[in-house]
Amino acid sequence: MKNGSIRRIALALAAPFAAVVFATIASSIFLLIAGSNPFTAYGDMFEYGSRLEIQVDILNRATPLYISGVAAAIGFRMNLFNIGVEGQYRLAAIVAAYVGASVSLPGVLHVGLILVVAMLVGGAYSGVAGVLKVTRGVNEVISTIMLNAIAISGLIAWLVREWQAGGSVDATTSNLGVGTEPIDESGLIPNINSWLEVFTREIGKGKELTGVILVAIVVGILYHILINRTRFGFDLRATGINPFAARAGGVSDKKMVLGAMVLSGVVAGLVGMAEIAKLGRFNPNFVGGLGFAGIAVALLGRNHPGGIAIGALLFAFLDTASGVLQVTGSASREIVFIMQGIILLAAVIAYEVVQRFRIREEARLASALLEGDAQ
Amino acid sequence: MGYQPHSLHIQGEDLAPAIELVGITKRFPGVLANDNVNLTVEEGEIHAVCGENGAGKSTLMKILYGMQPADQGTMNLFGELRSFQSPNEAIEAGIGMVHQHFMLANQLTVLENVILGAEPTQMGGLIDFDSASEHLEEVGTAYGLTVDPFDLVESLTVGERQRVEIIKVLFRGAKILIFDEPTAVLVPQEVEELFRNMRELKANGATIIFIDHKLEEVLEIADTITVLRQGKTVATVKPSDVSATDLAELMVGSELPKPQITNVKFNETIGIKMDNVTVLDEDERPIVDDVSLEIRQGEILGIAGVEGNGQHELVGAILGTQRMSTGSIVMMGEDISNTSVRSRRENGLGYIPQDRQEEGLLLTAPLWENAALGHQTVKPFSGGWNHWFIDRDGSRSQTERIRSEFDVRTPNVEVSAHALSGGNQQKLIVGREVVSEPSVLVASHPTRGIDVGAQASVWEQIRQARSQGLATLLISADLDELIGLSDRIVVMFRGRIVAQLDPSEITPRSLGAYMTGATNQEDSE
Repeated sequence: MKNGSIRRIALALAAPFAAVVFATIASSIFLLIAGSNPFTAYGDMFEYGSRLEIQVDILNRATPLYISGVAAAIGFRMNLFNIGVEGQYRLAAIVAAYVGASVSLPGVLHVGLILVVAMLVGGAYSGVAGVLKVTRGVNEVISTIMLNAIAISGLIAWLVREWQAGGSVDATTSNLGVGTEPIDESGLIPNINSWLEVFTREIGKGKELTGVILVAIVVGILYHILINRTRFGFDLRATGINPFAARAGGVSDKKMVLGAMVLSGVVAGLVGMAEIAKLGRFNPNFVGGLGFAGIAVALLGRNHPGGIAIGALLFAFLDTASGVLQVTGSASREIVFIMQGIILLAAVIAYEVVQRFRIREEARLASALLEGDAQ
Repeated sequence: MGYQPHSLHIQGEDLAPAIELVGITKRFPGVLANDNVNLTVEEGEIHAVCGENGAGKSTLMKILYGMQPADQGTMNLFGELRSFQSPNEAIEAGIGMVHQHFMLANQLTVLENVILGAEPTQMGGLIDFDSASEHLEEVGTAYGLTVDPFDLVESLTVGERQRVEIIKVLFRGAKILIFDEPTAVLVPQEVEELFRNMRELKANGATIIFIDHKLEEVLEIADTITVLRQGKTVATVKPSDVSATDLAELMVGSELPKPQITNVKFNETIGIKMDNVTVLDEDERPIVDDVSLEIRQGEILGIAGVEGNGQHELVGAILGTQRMSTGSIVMMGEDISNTSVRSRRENGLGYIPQDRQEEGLLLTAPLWENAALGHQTVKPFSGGWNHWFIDRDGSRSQTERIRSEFDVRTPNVEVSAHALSGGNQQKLIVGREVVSEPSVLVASHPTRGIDVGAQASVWEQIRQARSQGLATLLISADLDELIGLSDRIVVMFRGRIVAQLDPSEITPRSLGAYMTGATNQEDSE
């Protein structure tokens, strides 16, 4: 029994490990073609990534990536593709920043209000795609892509002028805005440098470890409980594995589609919170692309709460450490995007291979047992 | 109406038959689908191939059409030894298949559908619509088939769509046409139209193989009839020499299993009662037609019938996955007509689906999760506030119980369901449904495709559950199972209950006749 579980864990880790090894080799080839020395490039990246301040950057980057990955994974668990995390988190962020700036409350309540508003906006916006799918059969991939466009180049572009600090600006003075009114200090999730400094030295260079990382951890734990321990999670997974069997087992597919979609959006609403806490407002240069990156992270992590964390850290490391390549000139930083792509492709393939291996292995075990009985 | 007299089209004895299949044998794991089958089809005749589900008709046609290779046996086409590796080769040799389920693109026109995959091109690779429509016209007039080539397929009736399918095959130059249960989707008037078309085709020299199990139709249209049973050719007869009941007997077999003598006393409580239940298909046609039945506790009601006569939809109506257009269902005294699947299952409806992998299992999930499926809202599978949480330990120990009581052979309950053999998967499903102590059980083909040992154990479990007062609806194509288990048997034909029979008095003749529509108890009463 003990042996069996060690074997299972080894199998689970084999795929991502193989993917990273393969991606490293493949990227090295690209580096060589580009005339760079892969060893120097990787060496620079690791050296850079080992610095405390850079590790803080990595964690700060990994935090929203993780939340975004969980948001995508909730949908993936039942074969629902929420491509709309991108629009959901940005819309949630601007509304939450606006609401947060227009009230003054004591600390915990203020932060809580901002988070709740963000989750509600995210859930409501993804809920639109859910309702469209349930009532009209609109494919959620199409509707969430459309909703992204509406949110990003429509609603947010309009709101960021409408809610401009010190009165709205008109379209002719675009790109000059400073963003929404600043949120009071009480509404900003503080950094938790002191928590990290317990284990190590003081963090320098003005780097701040985002407190939202705690939110991400809570999200991860709740996600694990939801998916693996609750009946809702069971219904969700059952629908994802076999919708017909789930239906015969009493699971209402419409309720599950709506539930999963809204929940995915609720989590997506939290993706922008680290940025809000850092900036203190929503501004026209608010960070983008986290929603799409989250999809990659969820795929890499196999929708597993721990796996997504590893995926988020890996992508965050690559994103952050790529900066050093430019400084040292050992390689072009774009190699990192190539690596991320190759890792993802290789991981998807490797998971499939391992899965097939596992199926064969189990079938062999079960039939070996039958033969044992016959004798 | 009567049938056409035996065709005079066979031009002399010296001419080689259009098709001659000799000694065709095809094995699938655990099943002998075709066992030394012989079939001779003369040129220019309509040759019907009849048999129950699983008699081997489809397999034989797939071999003929190049979709599957035969393990043994030879095939002669107009006296020439042939074997096809793919349907394309069969089409080239002049064999065409008119599929039961239309393979048409609804948003394209008739002409576009007909040329799809065989588009005539002109210079520059453009489709030559003019010559295509000319050719279509020729084919249409030659065989007396008329459809406007520029109509959209979605605007056509079912009968017209079938005509398009036929034209499609003729367009590719087919001389031998295989019709796979062509009347299954048609209303009676359309059947008449189809038969007119078939006679027209014959008159123009086409050879037709006609797969069917509705005997009146077969007797009306066929020149020669070959009956298959359990993978073997039983007989080749002329329609003039046999009656419908003779044919039914040939199909079902001359000996039926004896029912088990059971001294079970039925409880007087009615487990489930259906009144005037009608279910409509996509084309608004009744697929379950005004069905009323009741099953008492401790009783097994068997439904006999050739597959596709509404049994599956009837099960869907009981389970709640299929919307009823009229009628009501009362389970244990409570009207459940408008309740959700979940509430029906919570109130004691057990379900063994006809296809365990498609509707019964989460193949990649561990056994204990599979055991919970359908029962995840009740103890011991869930607990906590409002049963919001899955009780993992409870589920595992319940699965262990199913494993030992129902003899599910597995290393442990953590392996995924796909690792088990079919028989063990089925025992797990039967176990999870019976262990939950339902008051009504719907069992659809509960032993299909499993080995004899597992089959016996499933039967035993169902009998035991009956003795504890379970009301069971049993749907099965296996007559051993149906007669051996049921206390009462009704026959479904074209969505209706056409007969109610006592298993101890059933004869192959009567059962076969009802199943194939040769006689109708309702009419004779």
